[in-house]
Amino acid sequence: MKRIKHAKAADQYIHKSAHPKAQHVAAIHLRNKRDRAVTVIDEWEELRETASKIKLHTLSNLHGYLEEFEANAKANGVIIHWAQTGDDLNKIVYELLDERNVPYLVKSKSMLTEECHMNQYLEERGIDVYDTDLGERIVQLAKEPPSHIVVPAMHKTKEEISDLFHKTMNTEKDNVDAKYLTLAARKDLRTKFMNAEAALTGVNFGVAETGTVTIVTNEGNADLGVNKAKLQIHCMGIEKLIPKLNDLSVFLRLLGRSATGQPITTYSSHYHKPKPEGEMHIVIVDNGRSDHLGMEDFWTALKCIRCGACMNTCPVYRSGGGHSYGYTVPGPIGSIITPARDITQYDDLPFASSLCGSCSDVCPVKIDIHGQLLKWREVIVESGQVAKSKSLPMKIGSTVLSKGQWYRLSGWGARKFLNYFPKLANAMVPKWTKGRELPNPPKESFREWYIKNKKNG
Amino acid sequence: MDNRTAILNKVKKNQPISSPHPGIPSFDLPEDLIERFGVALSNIGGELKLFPNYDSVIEEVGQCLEDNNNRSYLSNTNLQTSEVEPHTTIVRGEIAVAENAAVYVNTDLLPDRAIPFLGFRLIVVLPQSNLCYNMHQAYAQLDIANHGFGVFIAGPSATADIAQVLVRGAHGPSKMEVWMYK
Repeated sequence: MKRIKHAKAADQYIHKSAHPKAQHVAAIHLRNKRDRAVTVIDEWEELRETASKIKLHTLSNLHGYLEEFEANAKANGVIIHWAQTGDDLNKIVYELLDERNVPYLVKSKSMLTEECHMNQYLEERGIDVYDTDLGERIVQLAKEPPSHIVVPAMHKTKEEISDLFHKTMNTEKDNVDAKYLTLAARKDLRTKFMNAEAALTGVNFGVAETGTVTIVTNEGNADLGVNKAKLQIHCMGIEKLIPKLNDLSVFLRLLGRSATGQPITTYSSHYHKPKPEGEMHIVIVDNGRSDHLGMEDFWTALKCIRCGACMNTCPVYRSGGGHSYGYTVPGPIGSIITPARDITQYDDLPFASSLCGSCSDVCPVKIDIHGQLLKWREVIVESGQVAKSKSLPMKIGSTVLSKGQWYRLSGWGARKFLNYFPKLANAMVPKWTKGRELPNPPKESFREWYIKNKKNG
Repeated sequence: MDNRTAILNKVKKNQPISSPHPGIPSFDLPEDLIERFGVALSNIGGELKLFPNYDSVIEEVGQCLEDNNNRSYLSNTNLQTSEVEPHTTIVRGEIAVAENAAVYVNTDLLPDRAIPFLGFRLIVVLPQSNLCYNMHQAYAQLDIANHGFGVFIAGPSATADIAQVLVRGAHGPSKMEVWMYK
């Protein structure tokens, strides 16, 4: 697996891509909508606290809740499968489709299947996959990964989408009207929906006490697909469970407002039983989650309900773009999930942050995201996986800063040096001075100033 | 070892020390539910229509059905879906939530679960007495676990996936009305 280099990829996005501002504009728009939707709820903080505690409770009793979910879903007539890895999931789904000679699959947005590269797996074996969420369909047609978990084509301008639709579904050239383009996609997918034999979705929440699969969408694509097709398959990560139906009331009040500033998503669906003469399957997927659960400092990241609020508020995400993280879930939450899955591939991501803490402030389930980012840096530095260019200055810094005399002496030296040779000083730290300059040195240190002024009264 | 056993064993071994379920707090409830519901629904592109009684709803439904492209599932629940998609679909709602304008539809009462997602205009009919304020109340009152498939619907199908421009009617209906009677 390729080791992700975030700064390099972000640099590419900012300097080489055609529309480096698109992601920023879209994300800040969502961030503002979120703020307006949140401030009108008096009990917002109490809801966040409750949601966080429900998730902590569920994760710390996950074994029992997984068994309870399975038993209740089975009692509803649902067939349960278990997948340890992404490959297991892909195999299970492929076999279900292949045994029934299903020609194609309609799929609603599922970050889990992105994580496991299911589309590629199925297509290589002759089964066409139609992503039906509009944003997901756009990135599928463009042969790109999503750049955001809620708005997958966030990085694309309407001109780019118009061009893409003209090439792939023969829409009018240069017609950039969003309504025209959206309805063209609706029409294009309609026959696929109406004749689908199999539909697949992700899962937002699995309810243990009832075996419920809960899915939220704004477009209605998941429901149209699932309810038209004879075979319905839902793929769920083990961390999606919550204990009771009534717990959903807390999460549904938080999720839409945090994600897009909507009071609730348009469709909040509860699937219990297969339709008459239909089949309903749920695949419960681990793929690294149970290992993550055992990491003392990091397991609470599994509380995440995938609203994307931390991305929208993150200055690094907005500037560098979602693709620069090289993983299905980008942004601050992605940067603390990925090292738990594969620390050698994603060791760079916890450094892709200013640690401003805004991500933790907006998180609806109160994950200490920036705290974990910092903690991951500790782990990565201690395991010796950091480049010398970063670790050596840190070592020198820690020595100098721990001895008063050394600190004063180097401060004095640095002020003099910067005063007499500013260009050389800037050139000596080329990475730091990229896009910024060293400051003008002050005449004296604070200590010198303080001693002088204290004496003067 | 099979996948199920392997996953469950690992989860059992790795899960942290148990913390308690916090319970769900009770929050203050406002009184002007109808007004709040109407505002919330219009904010998300839907429309609330009030009727003095059920008979007046039926009268309006009758007028609506004069158009052959419209279907009502209020009384004739055996009506099958046809090949041609309807223009307007009328279904029964079980509960409405004032805070977010969501209306719960139990599709077990319909001949086909896809019905609320078809066509261009969805009308959900329910009595005013089934209006509550928030989701906590709604879940407490509904019997969702016994419905094969049930869905909260809040406004028309929507997307803003192209340059943040809001477009209604992404895959489901582009219009949504709630008809409430006393």
